[in-house]
Amino acid sequence: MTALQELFLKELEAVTSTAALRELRSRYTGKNGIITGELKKLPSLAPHERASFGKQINIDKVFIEERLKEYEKQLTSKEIKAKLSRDPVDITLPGYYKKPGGRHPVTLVLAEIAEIFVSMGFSIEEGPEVESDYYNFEALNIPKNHPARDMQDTFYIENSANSHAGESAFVLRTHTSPVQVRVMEKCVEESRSNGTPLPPLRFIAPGKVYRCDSDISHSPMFHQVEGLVVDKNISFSHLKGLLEGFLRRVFGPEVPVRLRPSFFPFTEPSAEVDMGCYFCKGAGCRVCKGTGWIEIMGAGMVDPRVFKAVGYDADKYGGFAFGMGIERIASLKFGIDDIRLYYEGDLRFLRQF
Amino acid sequence: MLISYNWLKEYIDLTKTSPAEVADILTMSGLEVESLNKQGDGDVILELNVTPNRADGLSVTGVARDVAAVLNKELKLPQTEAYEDTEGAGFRVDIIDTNLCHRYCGIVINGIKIAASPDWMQNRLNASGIRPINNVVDITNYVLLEFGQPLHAFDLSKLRGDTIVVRADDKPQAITTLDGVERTVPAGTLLICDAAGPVALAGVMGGQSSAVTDATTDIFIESAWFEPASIRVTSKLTGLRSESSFRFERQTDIGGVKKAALRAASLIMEHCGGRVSELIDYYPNKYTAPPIVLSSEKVQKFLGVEIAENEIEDILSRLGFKINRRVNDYLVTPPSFRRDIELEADLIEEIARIYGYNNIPAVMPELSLAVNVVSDKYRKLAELRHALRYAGFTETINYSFTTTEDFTLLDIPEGDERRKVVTVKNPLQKDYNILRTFLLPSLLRNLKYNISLGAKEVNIYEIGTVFFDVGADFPVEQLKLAVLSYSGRGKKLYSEPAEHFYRIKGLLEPVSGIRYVNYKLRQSNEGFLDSCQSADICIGDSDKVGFLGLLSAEIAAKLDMIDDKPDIAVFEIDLFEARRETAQRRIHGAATFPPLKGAGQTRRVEPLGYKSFSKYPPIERDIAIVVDDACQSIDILNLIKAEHLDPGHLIESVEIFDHYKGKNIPEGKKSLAFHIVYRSNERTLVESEIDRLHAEIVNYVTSKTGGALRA
Repeated sequence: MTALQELFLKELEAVTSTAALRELRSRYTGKNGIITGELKKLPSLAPHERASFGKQINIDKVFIEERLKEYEKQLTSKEIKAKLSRDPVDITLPGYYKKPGGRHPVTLVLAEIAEIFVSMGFSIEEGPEVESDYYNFEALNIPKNHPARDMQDTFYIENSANSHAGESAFVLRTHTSPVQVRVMEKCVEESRSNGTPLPPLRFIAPGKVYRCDSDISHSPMFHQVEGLVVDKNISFSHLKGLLEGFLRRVFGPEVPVRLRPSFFPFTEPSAEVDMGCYFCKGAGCRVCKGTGWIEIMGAGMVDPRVFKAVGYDADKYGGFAFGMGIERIASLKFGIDDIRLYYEGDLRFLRQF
Repeated sequence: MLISYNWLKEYIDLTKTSPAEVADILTMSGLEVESLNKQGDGDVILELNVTPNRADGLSVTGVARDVAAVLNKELKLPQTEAYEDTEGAGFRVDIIDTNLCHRYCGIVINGIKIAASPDWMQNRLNASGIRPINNVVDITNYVLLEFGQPLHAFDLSKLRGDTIVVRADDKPQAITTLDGVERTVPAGTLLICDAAGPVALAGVMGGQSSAVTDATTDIFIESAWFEPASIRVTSKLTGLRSESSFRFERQTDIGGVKKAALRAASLIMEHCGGRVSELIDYYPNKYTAPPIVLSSEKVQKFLGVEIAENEIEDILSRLGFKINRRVNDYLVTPPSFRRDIELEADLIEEIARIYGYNNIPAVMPELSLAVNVVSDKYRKLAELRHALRYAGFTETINYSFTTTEDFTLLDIPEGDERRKVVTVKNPLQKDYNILRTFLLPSLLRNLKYNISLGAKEVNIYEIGTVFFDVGADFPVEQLKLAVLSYSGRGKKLYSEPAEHFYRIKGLLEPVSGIRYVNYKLRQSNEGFLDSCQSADICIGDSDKVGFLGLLSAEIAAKLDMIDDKPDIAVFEIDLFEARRETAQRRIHGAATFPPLKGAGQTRRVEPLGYKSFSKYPPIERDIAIVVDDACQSIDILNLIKAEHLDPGHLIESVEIFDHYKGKNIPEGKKSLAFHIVYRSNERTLVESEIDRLHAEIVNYVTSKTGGALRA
């Protein structure tokens, strides 16, 4: 490297702006620059020295011009970047985000249950919350003055059309089972007027129900999901299969499920459905009262008396029904130990879901 | 029902079966054991939850029968001595209402001595939750526990005349019951009477006048079968629930009436002395159990498991059923203590519960495919909840019960639809005795509650049914959505001075998207809303479906919140069509329930197909105009879109983009700015034609509104 090259590089190193670079360029390669100055020395040299001197200057010139060009490129891109760069950010500050509201755990669990049954081809039906004594009780084989009425503490309704004394004929429905009767009645009616055979049925009916009871585990209003399957060749083992499948989908594939005899006036045989305690895994704890089992739903084969009340031929059709409390399932899933939490509207609770 | 394990052992060999095993057997065969309690004397008390159909489970022998059936062991029932009927010798029984009392058995025992009953009996009574009194009363209770047959002992010397008459009077009757309370029971109540009048409320409680006392020497023991519904009515009317009434209303064993009386008689002679002088068994209304046809094929079809015929026969006979084998099926006669068994299905349950539900396989049903329409309504509610959730709103669910104080708080005028309430006859809280007609009061309670807990911002909604009394049997049920937004920090979302109003209004969009209906807002006269910042939500010209706006300052002040003048924005709107229930109470006949309605079956504007769009470029122009405050943006929007100015339909869209009051705008005026997109479906528009059209529009708008273009 020549002395000139070395000097140039040293100066180039100190350049940080395009303006300084322009100045450096004109100082070396400009009209009155160092290179021109050196070339001007040529005539004063001995002829034999001129060739090599001139050649050397030319090499220097090429060297300098190339470096200048290269450095200019670097410098411009650096300056463009600098011009476009933004303020530094604190990457730990929270992003802009509208915090979603909470879902009500009842809605959440209901949606999960509905999804499972809909995936199995069930439809969703509904019925009124104020029901007649007929739909809520009698059509479901719960006659007046029968002790089975004690199983459900009932709210009676009074309105201008029936404000007579005594037991009112209208109630806040105590269960979603009246929807069974309504849907089957509708099918019978349609089948009669269209002359078509009765369709197979499989639906769930979610909704609010009411019982005259209030404490840490009972609410005067709560939610149930009713289910009904009616078809030819339906057996108790199908009921077991379906409910086992359902509960394992909700509570995990390993959960033990058992059915044991019970009594609901509108099913025969009737069953209480227990699942292995979610908390102690069957070892026995406070939640399952030491039994290792938790009562989770009621079920059974549709009682022929109900088929008769709605006009289904119990010899041709069979079916099963089941019902469960949503709050109960939600409480087990989320470990909620006071049913009142569902209805207090406390955002600190509701926003967790 | 409390059952002593040691007592059970008297009737069945339990040497290899522990109390816990007995409990498990009972639970899994239909008599649920809720708890096991170890006693000091080594006994274990099983607490049973007996369902109302199983009257036979309300006795120690009945429970033993189930255990024996499951274990396939012999049931050893206590033997009773036989006595000859001696009706008519000195004392008589007459049943007037044989439909209410089917059988009445009476035993006269003379010469007894009242004392305390033996310790073992007292222990058993205590363990079963019955307080020992004296030997005679204790024996009647002991037999009640043993067989489930309630008995009553009268002091014979206190009975007037020589005849017990069982009748229901056609006039109200007065009687002082054993608990010392004088009661008047209505006509139709079944009574046990002597020559002078009622001496007991049949099946519920005895009378004080004929009660057994320490001085009693001669007694008359009653063992009878009363019609369950009649006993239940009396028990409910008097509020008296006794061990007796509890069993009678569940149907006692009519076949065991005499056996129980005899058992009591022999125990009395053993422990109280005396002798039986008379036995009366008056049984005018004979019970014959109806035989039920049962086929093993049906059992298999119903349960989904094949149970061998001999096992079916075996199970039923262990439970006391009589089986008659026929060519293709069985004729099965239930025992008199199982009157709940009426149909083949009932028999199948008996077989299943002893066979064991656990032994029935779990199989997924094979169902034929069908196109099930999951209601539009259900899907749309899910969408709505989703939209509200991501707008920051939390769902609450409140009780349907409310109080008339709502109307006072919100100044709801007399005669308003919302005052047509449905009343609950037996509310849990006296004041909360009506069903909601709107949801707002519940949300206001939620708001107050959360503020009291320190919340600074409350954004909540509820979807729920409300009820209107419309003079028909069934109320009208309407599903409603109510939304409430409160922000105590006063931070503005955007520069709009009435941000709360516009924020809540913006939430109408997800709702209208779900209902596919265009709402119109009209001036509201709801007293609880701010008169300046409120609107009624209407469909068409008159159909009001909701309200929207800020709660008036007066109402807000009544809420007693920390904030002096809280901005509480609310709206409430009907979702879908109301369920109009017209069905009368019916027993049989055609269903009158109207078809379940999906999302707005009427007035529904579904987006049908897609609208093609232009491939030509748009030309865009703005117009900013200063108008009177009273002028509404929609008026200007309509002027801009006036048909006659734009016959070629070149206006593709008009959007409002600024609403300004303040600096540079005169007092009482406001500036509104609109962005207009012109575009043709057929050609590229020329600037000059749009300049002309736009100028015409501007002229038209300014001349019509008297407004000036904003500089």
